[in-house]
Amino acid sequence: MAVIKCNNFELWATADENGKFSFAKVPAGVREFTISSLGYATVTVKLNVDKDITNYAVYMDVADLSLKEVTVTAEKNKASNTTQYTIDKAAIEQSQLTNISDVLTLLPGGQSIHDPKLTKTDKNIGKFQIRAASSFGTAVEVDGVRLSTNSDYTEGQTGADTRNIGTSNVESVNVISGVASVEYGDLSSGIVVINTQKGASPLKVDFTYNPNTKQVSLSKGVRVGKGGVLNFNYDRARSVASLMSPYTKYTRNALTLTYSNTFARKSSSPLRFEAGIGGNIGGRNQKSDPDAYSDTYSKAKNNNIRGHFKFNWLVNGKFITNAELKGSVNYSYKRTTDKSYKSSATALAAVHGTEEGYFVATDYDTDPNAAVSLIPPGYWYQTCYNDDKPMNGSASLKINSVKEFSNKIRNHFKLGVEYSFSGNYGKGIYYKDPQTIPDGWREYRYKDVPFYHTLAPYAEESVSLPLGSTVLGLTAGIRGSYTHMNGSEYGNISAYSPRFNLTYRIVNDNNNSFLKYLNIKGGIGKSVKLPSSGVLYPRPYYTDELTFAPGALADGTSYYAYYIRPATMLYNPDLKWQYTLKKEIGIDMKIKNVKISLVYFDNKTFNRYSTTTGYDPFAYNFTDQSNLESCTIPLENRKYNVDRNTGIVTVIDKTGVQQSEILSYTTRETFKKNSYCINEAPSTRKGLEWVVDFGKIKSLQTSFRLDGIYYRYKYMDKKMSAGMPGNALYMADGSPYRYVGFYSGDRDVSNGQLKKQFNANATIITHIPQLRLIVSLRVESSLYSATRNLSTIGSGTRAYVLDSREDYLPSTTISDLKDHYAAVYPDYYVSYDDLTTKIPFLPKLKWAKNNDPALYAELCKLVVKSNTSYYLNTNRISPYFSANIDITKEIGRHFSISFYANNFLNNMNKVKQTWNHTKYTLYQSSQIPLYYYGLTLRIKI
Amino acid sequence: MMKKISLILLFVALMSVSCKKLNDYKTYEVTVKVVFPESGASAPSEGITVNLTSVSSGTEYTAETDAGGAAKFEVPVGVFRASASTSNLDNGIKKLYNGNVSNIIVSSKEQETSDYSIDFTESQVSQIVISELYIGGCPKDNASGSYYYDKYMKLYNNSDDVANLTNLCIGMAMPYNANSTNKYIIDGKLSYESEGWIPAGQGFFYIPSLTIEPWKSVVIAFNNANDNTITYSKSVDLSDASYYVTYDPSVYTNTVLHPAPSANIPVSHYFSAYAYGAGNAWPLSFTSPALFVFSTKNSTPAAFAADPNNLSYYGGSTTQVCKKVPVDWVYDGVEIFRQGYSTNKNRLTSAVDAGDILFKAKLGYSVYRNVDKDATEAIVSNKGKLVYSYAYGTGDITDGSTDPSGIDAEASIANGAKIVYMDTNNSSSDFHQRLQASLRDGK
Repeated sequence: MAVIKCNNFELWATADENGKFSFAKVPAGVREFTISSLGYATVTVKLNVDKDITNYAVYMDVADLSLKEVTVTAEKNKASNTTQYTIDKAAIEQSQLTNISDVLTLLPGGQSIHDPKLTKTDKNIGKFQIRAASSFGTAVEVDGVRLSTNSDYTEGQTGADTRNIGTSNVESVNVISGVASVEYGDLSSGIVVINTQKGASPLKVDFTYNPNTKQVSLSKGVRVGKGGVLNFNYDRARSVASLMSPYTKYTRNALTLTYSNTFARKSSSPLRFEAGIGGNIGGRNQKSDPDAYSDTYSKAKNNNIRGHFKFNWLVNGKFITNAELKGSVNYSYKRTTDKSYKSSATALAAVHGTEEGYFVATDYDTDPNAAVSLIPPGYWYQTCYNDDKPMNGSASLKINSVKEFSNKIRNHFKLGVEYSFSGNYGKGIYYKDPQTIPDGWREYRYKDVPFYHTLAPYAEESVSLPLGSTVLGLTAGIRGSYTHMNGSEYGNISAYSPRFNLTYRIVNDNNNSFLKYLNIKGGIGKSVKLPSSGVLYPRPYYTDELTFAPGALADGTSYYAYYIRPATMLYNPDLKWQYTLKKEIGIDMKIKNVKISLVYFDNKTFNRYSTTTGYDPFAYNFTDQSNLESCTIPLENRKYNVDRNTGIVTVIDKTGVQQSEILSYTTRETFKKNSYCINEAPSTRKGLEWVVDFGKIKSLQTSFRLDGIYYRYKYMDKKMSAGMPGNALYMADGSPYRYVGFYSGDRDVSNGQLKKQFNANATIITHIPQLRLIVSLRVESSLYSATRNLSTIGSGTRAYVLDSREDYLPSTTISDLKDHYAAVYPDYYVSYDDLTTKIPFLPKLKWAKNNDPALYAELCKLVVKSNTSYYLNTNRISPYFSANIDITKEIGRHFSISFYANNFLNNMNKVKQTWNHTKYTLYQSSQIPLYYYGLTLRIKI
Repeated sequence: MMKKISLILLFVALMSVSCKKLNDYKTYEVTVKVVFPESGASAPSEGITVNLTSVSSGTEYTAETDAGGAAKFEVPVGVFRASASTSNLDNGIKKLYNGNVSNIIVSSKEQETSDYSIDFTESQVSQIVISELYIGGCPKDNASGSYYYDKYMKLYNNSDDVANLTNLCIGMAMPYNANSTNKYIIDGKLSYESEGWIPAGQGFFYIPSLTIEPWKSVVIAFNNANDNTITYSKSVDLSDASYYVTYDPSVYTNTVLHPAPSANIPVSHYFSAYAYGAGNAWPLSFTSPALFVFSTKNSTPAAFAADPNNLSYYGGSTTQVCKKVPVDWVYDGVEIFRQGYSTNKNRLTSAVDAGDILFKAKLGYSVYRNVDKDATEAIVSNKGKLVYSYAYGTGDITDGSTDPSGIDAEASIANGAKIVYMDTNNSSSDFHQRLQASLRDGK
């Protein structure tokens, strides 16, 4: 079932089972049409529509390797008014991906991922990262269903895990890394739009094999009823972490069903309907490994169900050209189970209380709900569950109105509104046996966190102005977003994202022998990334301070007491929403047979979310065995009562014979920590992306392509933050530390980083249509990689040079930080006894060295020193390369076989790093892909 | 009648002649002065017995030194040899002073000098030694793993004098495990060997005073000073009231590694802590620690802990911090190497421990000091009390070792014997791997 689009006019038509299609109203003029059909090569034609056209026939070729042109790389989307790349089926099949997020390696300068195993637990596995930016800012959409992680507790502040999407079902992937249309929101680096197969197709069975992963998939598109098509796809993948001990595996069983049909096809206002349902059952499982203790395991289920529907109505009216209504729901069931075997010779104190105060440990049998419980000594199994059930959904209505005026000025007005919500139905972390719940656990049910609702209206105006033979396109849009979360102290959040794009098509003439096209594109736009629910509705955290430790009874039981202090991230009334301002300018041209594309980008992220700590004075009363030595009540008759407010311990004689005794105590003065979310100074990511495609050398049937990226990323933390020594939190006399330092940036030697990276790839593709064979050889290189930890603050000095590692005062002779140890001092410090007087640190430290050795010793603990003499040096890594080869061969009409080998030269060379003037080997290093290979067999029936 | 009178007269004449002869030889004064080494004397100069021996006749004369360290003799002519020794016991270290001088010539002629001096050389022997270090843990019941919170050490008085120890401290060197990369080794040598200190990593424990009777030991528990055998039958019971424990909940708040000790153990038996590295527990290795015992001598643990100039950042890390302990503060140390690893390297310098003992963790083994066979058998009162046929060696196990003396030290001590342990500051010859912790003997 083919889909025909009239480009730039938002007009579409679908062909019936006989291939017949019609457009009721096409504005007169030379119009471009794109015809696409599943399994066939897309055709673009230009037609001069000056009268009604009937019997126009388009011939479509089967999309296979016998075509003259096959694209196995990411293609820059020329028609788009922003930087957009399309990766189509042939490219996905040629690279034989088992995980769809790996598709970004085909973008300019993209480097193959290090380890394709699906079992890895790295934070960024299966996540999209556009231009090496954070995955949390990259949005992912599958058939219009947004995969959001705002309410996902397992993922944390990272993007969506795409390991549960069947790769065989993907028809194409569009990556928008430029200034996206206002239609897309809640993102910062870009959006990845994944389109699955729709349309009638033969039964396809694929088998993929690589040393750790085996995958099988089935897909078919059947015609249903009159004009309807049902696409079915089942994808099963099984990945094992280690071949020697195949007990940790990741499984994917993804099933997708999509139904599409067009109603009133022949009328002037056809209605296209699409509905789909899909899901996955699988996850990570560490089945009973014979090397692990009997019946202990770890399982992480990753089940998912999603559904969507879409109505696309070609209104063809006076004001509205077409309208789209869509809705989607995505529900995941992620449940992690960890079963382990524990034992202890002493009773373990397990603090579970959520209220503030002093609490003494109580046997579970006496009070199951005690704030401090005691796990009795012995052996037991502990089963821990993490019940995470995130759900998100959206509904949107979009209206397009396209009109061309007599002077060939075309106007496209887009108006829409999107509603989305996200929340979680999970129970959170809980344990099977309430008596043995470990220390520190408090109930936190994800389902108690309110849902997150966002309403986003948007409007966009695009004008296309012909100027002589050139065309100037201008787009201006604005998107508003209003977010509400019940009970959030931040109330209702509103933000605006205006975006502008300019496209200047200077030459667009395929007949010109020298310059076939020349386009200049530029854009500037703002996109707001909403904070995760952890910021809007902070989770309480608890500090438990040990305040009483009596000697143990014969069975190893000791009735400890703790001071429990609950806290939540404090509300910051000045918190602003993080947004990215993207600026891009690019040029696309085709000179003779050579396609050149250059994009300069400048993304600046403002109001970066960060957390900082504040310290408040806090005193507690501490009692230990030395205070008990004078107690006359026999050990076995003692019962301890701890006053909730003062912590004073009273020893009671259980037999009632002796009088209760109140114990003495010592008061310890320390600080309690409070954290809150703040906005940090902006970070910038600027760079240049290029693609030079030399076209096919016909005699060799080979084309040659160069692509690459150079980017420069920098961030600096500037806020003044409080800090205390990381360890040695004691004064010389053993009492808690009494000073708090205030550091510019953070309590760290470096407060920023500068990273420059230059990646260049060369791809040689040999495509022989007669043999139906395509071989692509890709050499990936990192030609320049420099990272530098920065320590600067305005115009002053932040990091001081030390003569040697043992020193605390700055060097008086050396001033060059290179190859020297560095120290960072607080700007000022305060003392527990006087929190308002800010004492400048460095002058006081210098004075104390000669005048007050005791104070000098204490202040030295606030000095932050670098671990090495090269920490602030620039680390330049010498260039390195790796090469991949992909081969696909079609056999007959039904079979196709693909082979790939990543890093097939198994690069074991050494690279130099200037940081500490050492060399290390690339073998098994994370910088180049592991030496890996795989085979895929495809059968089409 | 006349005959009788002449016989009596002859007898008297004979007698008077012999008497006159006895009172006829001359004696001369000789002064022998003891001189302590330049580094100073920690023993008084007065009251030291000096022995003056005649080379020719072998006659011995003794005299005691006066306040100035001089001993005066009245001896006849001859050639003599003088020797003296004294010792001083202070805070567990016995300083021995020995010296002699020969060619003391006494003649009737006028002498150039009659003053001689004995130059003392100083040597020291530690009274206390680590006689056992049990840190490898034992298997849990039902083979579910291993348990390591039953670590303890036995500190033994290897001398005949009461050991009155002040400011006794326990430290461990970095890296925690002998097989880990040692960031102190530069060009194949420990960087601190030439500077005369060893690193005490993360924190140290101390007790103001501890007394150990002669030939007796004290048990110091590192983690759980309770009866561990209730849950882990292969472990040890550390809840005895005479035991000590490294326990300071105001510094190390981790109640899993440092649970409250048995209420039997008095607070006076707690070792307190000074912490300067990261962490809420003292991370003694269960596979291969380098443990040592020292005293802060003329300083105090508080002053030693407070001084920022004796800090050493291990590999530059700000979380792994050590204190520089001068080598002459150290009583004893044990270097344990991990079996099955070829990357073990010494952390204690040769002044403290020149060797190592191979150890395998998790099996209930301990590291036990060898008996000095000759010195022990030389003690007269030991006759009949020593128990031979030592059964707790691991000599027949791969990489195991046993006590070459064959004496079962614990059984002999139980019999009332006085055991002298080997102390050559070399774990290779001083220690062996024992089949079980000595506290389990007889249970």
